[in-house]
Amino acid sequence: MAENYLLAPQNIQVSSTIKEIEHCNEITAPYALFLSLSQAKALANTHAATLRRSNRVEFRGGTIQKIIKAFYTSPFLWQSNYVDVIAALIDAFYEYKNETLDELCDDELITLMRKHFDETCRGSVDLLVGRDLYKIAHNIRFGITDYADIQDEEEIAYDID
Amino acid sequence: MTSTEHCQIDHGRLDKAHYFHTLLQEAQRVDIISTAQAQQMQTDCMSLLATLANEYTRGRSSSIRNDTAERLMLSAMYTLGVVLICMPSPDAAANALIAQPVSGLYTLGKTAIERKISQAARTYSQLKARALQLKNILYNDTLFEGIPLFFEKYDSAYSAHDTPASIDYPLSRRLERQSGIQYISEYLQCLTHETAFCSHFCDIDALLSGYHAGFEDLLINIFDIVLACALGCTLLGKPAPYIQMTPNDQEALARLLSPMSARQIKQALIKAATALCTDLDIRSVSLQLYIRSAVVRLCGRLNIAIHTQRIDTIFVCAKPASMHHTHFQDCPKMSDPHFRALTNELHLCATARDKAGIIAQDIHSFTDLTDVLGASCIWTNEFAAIFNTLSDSILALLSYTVPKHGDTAHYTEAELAWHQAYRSFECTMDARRKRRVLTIAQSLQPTGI
Repeated sequence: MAENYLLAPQNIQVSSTIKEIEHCNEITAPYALFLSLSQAKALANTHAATLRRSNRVEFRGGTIQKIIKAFYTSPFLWQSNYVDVIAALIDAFYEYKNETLDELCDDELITLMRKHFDETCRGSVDLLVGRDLYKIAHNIRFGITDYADIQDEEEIAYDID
Repeated sequence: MTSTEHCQIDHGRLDKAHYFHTLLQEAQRVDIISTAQAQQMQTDCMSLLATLANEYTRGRSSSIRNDTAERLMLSAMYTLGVVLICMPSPDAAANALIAQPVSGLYTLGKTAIERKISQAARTYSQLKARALQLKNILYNDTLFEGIPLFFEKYDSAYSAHDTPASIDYPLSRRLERQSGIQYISEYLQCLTHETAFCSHFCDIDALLSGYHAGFEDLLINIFDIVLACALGCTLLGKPAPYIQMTPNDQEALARLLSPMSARQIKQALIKAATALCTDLDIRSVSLQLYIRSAVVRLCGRLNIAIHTQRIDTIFVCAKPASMHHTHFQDCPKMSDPHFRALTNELHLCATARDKAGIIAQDIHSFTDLTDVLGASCIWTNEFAAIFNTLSDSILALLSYTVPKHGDTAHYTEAELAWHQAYRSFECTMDARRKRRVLTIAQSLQPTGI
């Protein structure tokens, strides 16, 4: 019975997620970014599948909207890679909610993702997931207070030079 | 839960640990709650879960892990169950579910849990103040370390169904499947009753020592042992509070109870329990009922003990602390060549008498003795004659060494043969010698050999 309770919202969420994504088009339009209904459906399904895969349950929704709103101004986002990048970011977001042991709140994780996506990863989701977020999660798990500081010692030395 | 008469819901099908869940299922089954109402309740539970998740993350995260969600849901259901279980009947509880919104019941449940926590904390501090001064490690650890953990770590908001305590000491009464504050409350209530009863008696440690030499580490219920002995003394007309028994008392009780039927034994014990309560001035009705239910359980064990002629396992003879420390220091073993020569010599001996003479003269170590007994150099019909020449102390060591429950897995055939021969010899020993031997054997420390 408890399982039914927990699984129910994920199904309900898909339709509201589509509406949520479509609503974002109004904001992203000035940046020439647009998601069609089928793309919105695909993202909503990715979102539901990611939640299931990462063993998480969402109650309030709004995460995709937050990700889109945080990333649509990125210089590394354009119409042709828009859906794929957002889908990959959704995946990364839930993966690193788990990997960071839920120590980071939604907004903080999304802000860090955007910062590293633009600054150190230059628009590469693979680098963001496989390197930067990995290091941040590692720092958090090892109790490092300044977990967001992921510069290598070599890089620091290079910066000083 | 006072009235279950004319209830549509079968009380037996409800699980105390998952009361809300099973009540909802049962209420649906007997049509007190319709499918539409049940679905509405599920939706309400989802809203409650969403609220709890939001509180849990302090609004900082829109998602939580499945295991966390499951924990929060179980906690919420447990909290609802705490309110519903207090209703006069399961039907009334089902009607309350219809009449009140889930969120309202949840608030009531939270208040009830908080009240139960303070009540349990009060019970615990009183119990701690009246704790029995005993050497049993499990009793002391549970009371002074295991239970306080619960009050430190219990999370009534998000893990109300969990019991974060280390409770190893077994109660006389087996508690129904319960958890969280309901389990601790009931455990403390039962332990308070047991402590209140046992506190009337002195020298409980001596009694437990008579029950088993390793009583300090034993997983036993002390109340059951004390109650049985107190009832035994009452049956023999000894004044309360008295729990010290002698072997003569055990025999007298065996003579008294053996001819009785199970029903007569139960009546006699209940009568003795009533007399005991009067003598000890036990006025608390709930304690009297607790004792009575323990007596009923005791009857089952006593009937088996009478049937197997092991009444001494129920009515235990106390053993004074000074008695139970006999240390045994063995002599060094003989060398292997010397041992081989000795067994060869024994093989060549024609009579048991000659073999006994060699054993008495050449063997100075208990380990060598048992090795010789298990070396296939003594015939089965010769063992008794050899045992007969050994001193009471050596026989006590043999009695201590021979496994009591016929363990055949760890011994050779020759070893099993002398074990069997010793057991037969012990049965044929005259009563006085046997008592002497067994007394020494019982006084041996487990590490003595």
